[in-house]
Order: sequence, then structure tokens, then C-alpha cells
Amino acid sequence: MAPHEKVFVDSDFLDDENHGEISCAKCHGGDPTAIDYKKAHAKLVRDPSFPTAKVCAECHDTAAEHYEKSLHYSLAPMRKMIMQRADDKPAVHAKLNQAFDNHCASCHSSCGQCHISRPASVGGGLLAGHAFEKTAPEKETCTACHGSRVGNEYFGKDKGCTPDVHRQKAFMKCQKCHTAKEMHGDGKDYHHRLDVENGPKCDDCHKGIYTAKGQNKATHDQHRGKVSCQVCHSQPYQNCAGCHVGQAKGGQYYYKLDKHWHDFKVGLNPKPSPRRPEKFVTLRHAPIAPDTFSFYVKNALTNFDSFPTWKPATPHNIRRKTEQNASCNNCHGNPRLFLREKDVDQKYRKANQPVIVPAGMIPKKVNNPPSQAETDKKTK
Amino acid sequence: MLFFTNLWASMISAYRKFKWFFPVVAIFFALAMAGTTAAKKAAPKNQCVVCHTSGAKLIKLTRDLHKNDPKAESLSEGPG
Repeated sequence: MAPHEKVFVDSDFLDDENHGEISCAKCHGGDPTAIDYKKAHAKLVRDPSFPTAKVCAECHDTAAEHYEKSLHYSLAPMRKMIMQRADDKPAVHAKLNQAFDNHCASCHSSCGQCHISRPASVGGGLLAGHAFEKTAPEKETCTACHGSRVGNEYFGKDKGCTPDVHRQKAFMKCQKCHTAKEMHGDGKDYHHRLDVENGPKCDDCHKGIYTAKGQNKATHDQHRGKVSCQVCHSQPYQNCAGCHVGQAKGGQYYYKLDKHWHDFKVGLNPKPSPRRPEKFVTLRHAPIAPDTFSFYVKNALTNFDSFPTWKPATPHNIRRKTEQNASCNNCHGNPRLFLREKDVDQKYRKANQPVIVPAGMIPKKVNNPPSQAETDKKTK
Repeated sequence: MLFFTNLWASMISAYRKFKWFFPVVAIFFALAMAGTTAAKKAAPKNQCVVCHTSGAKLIKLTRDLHKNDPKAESLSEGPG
């Protein structure tokens, strides 16, 4: 977007009976009577909904009630995970908090940065001339941030992968699964995004797969509670490793990745829960390294090995038929699909012990598996 | 008939008694209208709306604001 496009206000917005009649200064401050640019913008608040959502909450009190616990605002699991890996010294925590604020925390969102403008972390810019969009447009907001992994997976932009079936066949937008309730928070202080109680689960919609009329009922029953849906139904996905943050001489904050690659790895679920009880889940490598924050403080992550760097993942490239579910033995007896010790860098092995699949736990080859044609016939 | 004659006579009499009132009302409305127009002219315009709804004004303004910005190719991306 050109700089002028980012701040252009459509005069139609002024006819919006709910928001158009509120004076600009009530939310944004500044001096609406000043003709000089600098005077007009003195003390201007670019995003009145950040860091507090008070102006929105005057009317939208329910939506804004748990704003500060919303993960898009707080990024709480990310900060917690870093601190849990860190040395206990307060000085180390202070430095890590500084690093987090400079680098990681720039990727937050707010009421305004979904419903009025694009998030600041992707350059900002009004979505539609300051019109208030009840449903945030997915490409301008959701995948503007969640693009390199989720967006590319969902829209089929990853090389060799097809779009997610929910997108390709049902044209589902992000909000179909990720509802306002999930986005706006429920007041609970979560340690992981997958713990969020209002988060989507496949069987919220696919309720029928375990019923008598469910497609592939026998297969679904056999694997229920043992493998996550993604283990059978997702395609390879992006992994990143070795993120390092720092500050250039010019003052710009930067990060760099050691590597990123496409892969598909099934591992052990490190933290089974009532929401996610499965033994096997898909794992994605998170871009963390023992020296990620060494620009700010040396040897900060002394408890690095207390959490795996391969994390349970929910790839957004779901297909009914995938390479691994084409036949039983594409998965059973196929160690390549599983995260084994030799797949993990020596320095990360200790951290990843809870998710590495020992050879004895890889499911054995199936004798006389039904052919695809037979399975299809049964399904029909 | 007599009723209407009496009514007409009493109306004429009332008009003669209060005829000063009509020019007062007219002057009041004239002043009020003039005052409103003048007040509207005197009130400062919302400059936010003036600039932010005009593409031409914003282009000129943002060009001026960014005229000294370094070009993208001269910006360091850091060691990474």
C-alpha cells in the first residue's frame, strides 16, 4: 500500500451511524482544528484500541471484556515458554523481556488492527477507508501475519502441496473455525494456544465420523484417540530452526533463521489433555535455539532442554486423501514418517526426548492390508 | 352571520392592538438564521476530514513527509 492509501478515509465512513458520527479526536486525540500537519497530529493515537481497548469497550463491552487475555494481544504462551526455558536470575528475565518486546511483541494485534486496519507488524494501513469490518478480511489480517506457514499451507502456495480441502472445496474463511469467541479471549491465562477452550476441533463439524453412517468408520474407530486428525490428513509443512534476534548498527531490530524446510513428522504428544488425548501428533520445529537471544544476554536459556523444540502442530493443509493414508503400510512400518533420534540435531536431542518416537513404538507393518479400492468401496 | 361579523371585528381589533409583534418575530428569525450561518462559517472545520478524505491532499502531504526518507535499497537489513 502507498503511504497515502494507508490513511485515506472514505467519506462514506462518515455516514456510518455507529462510528462515523463520533469525532475523530474522541478516539485518536490530536487537534482537529489545526491546519498544520504537525500540530494536528500532536499527541495523536494511531491505534486507540492498543494497549487498552477502552474506547471500543464503551459500546462493545462483551467483546472487549477479556481483551487483555486474548492471545493475539498478550502473546502469553510465547513469553511464558521463553521464560520457562530461561535462567531464573531476574536480570536475565529483564533482558529477555526487553528482547521479547523489541522483536516478538511487535507481532501482536488489537481490536483496531483486525477490524479497521491491517496489523502494524505488517505495515498497517486502513482496510477499507476506515470502515469498521465486522469480520476481519482474512488475507489482509489473518494471513498477513500467519502467512509463511498457515497462509501458504491453506491457500496451497507451498511447493508440491495442494490447498487445504476446506478452502478449495468449501471456500471456508479463517473465521469459520476460528470464531470471535476464540479471538477475543475467554479470560483464561493459557500456557499454549492448543489449550484454548474455544479453539476449533475437527469433530466440532465432523461429528459423524464415529457414527454408524460415518465414512471410513472402522479406520476412524481404530485410530481414535491414538493419532491426531492431522497425522493422517495433512500434507508436508514448513519448519523453521535457529532464530536469532539482534539490532543492526542503524538501530533496526532484525531476526534471522538458520534454516527452514518442508517436512512431515509424526511424534509423541508431549502433553496429552482431554482436548488433545492422542498419543501421536504431527510435530513442527519451532524457530528457537539455545542462543536465540545471545545478542541481549549470553547463556540465557539455561533450561533449554526442559521443552521440546519439535512442537505439536496443526498444519492447515488438510486433504481427505494423503500420501500417508493411501494405504495402511504407507504409515505402518514406515519409520521415515516418524521423528526418530537420528532426525534431531545432536544438541537438541535431550530437549526432544518427550516427542521422539522410539523404534519399538513405530506401528508395525500390516499384513494383507485392504487395497484403496476396497476401502473406497466400503466407504460408499 | 352576526357571529362572523363580530369575530372579524374582534380580530381586526386584536391585530391593531398587537401589530408591533409581527415585525419583532420577523426580525428574530432573520437574526437567528444569519447567526446560524455565521456560526457555521466561524466554526473551525474538522481538518482531519478535510485531509483524510482527499486522495490528492494525502498524496501531496505524504510525498512531502517522506521526501528525505532513505530509499529501500539503501536501508540495512542487518547482518541477516
